[in-house]
Amino acid sequence: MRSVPWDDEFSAGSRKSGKAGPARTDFSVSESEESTSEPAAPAEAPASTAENLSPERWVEDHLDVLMGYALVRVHNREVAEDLVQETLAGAWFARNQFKTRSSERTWLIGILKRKIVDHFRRQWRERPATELSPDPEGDELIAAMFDEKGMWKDHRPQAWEDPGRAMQSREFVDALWRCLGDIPPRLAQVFMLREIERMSGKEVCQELNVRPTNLWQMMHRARLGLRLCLEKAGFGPPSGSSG
Amino acid sequence: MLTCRETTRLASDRLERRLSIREWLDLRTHTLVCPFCRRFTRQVRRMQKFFAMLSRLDDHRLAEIGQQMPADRARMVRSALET
Repeated sequence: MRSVPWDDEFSAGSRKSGKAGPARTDFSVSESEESTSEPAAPAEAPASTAENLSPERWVEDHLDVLMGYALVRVHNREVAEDLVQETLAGAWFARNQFKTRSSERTWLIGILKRKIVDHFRRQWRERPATELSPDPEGDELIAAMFDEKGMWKDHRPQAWEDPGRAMQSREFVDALWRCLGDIPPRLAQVFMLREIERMSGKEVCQELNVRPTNLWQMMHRARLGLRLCLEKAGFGPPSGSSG
Repeated sequence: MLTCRETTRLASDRLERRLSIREWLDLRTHTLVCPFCRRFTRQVRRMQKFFAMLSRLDDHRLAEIGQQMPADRARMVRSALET
């Protein structure tokens, strides 16, 4: 698998995920209602022009949403606060570049999104994946999951209850979010960029400067860790019968 | 026959890239006889849908999550904007 040329390695995967991408529709009905009920500009965000903007108003209108957006992705309150502060301050100074035809909040979230990716990239540059040990925390995770013969140890996958209606619940979202903080941070970052930010594998590799095989290995480990965490969080059988 | 460890890797890789026919057959063969890897394969696909939800939280829910920002921090942001 590693001798295949770079672009080809990805074309299949990204085409596949691209197709599945925005149109992953096999969610429950009420959920698609939720996504149609959040069209571009939220009601409370004023259609502002550069003239009627005030910093006070900006913070009031957008701070909470931006914080929520960042927290879901970085799992660290201080980092999230820094990124949001940078975003608001940076955007405020550049507010004349804001085109009123797009929503102000969409514009801000676009800036924040870029700041989050940059934050990950900085972290990865400081501690790059080496050929010898690209992912020590992930090695531990694998060792906890499989014996030396490569068979499941203590954490064999259990049958999952169908979350069904629970998928709209606060608990469900909280569990997903908590589990992202439960696995090694680098695995969570890679997983987040792929599956929440919906970047292609190729983009993630370019942003974080990792090789495709490293990315796939980390995605495997992230999925093992997240799966176990979700099962413990109650996605599994009601009575915690293990084994 | 693949080990469970190798099988779960292929189950994950299938969401990242196109598997070769050989890999696909190996995955099928193992999951046919191993209920745990069969579950894993199904569950990672479902997880993909679950986590996609986090990218589509509406503004209201995001604001709820973000609301616990300490007041002094909010004040700092304001003053940063005003200068």
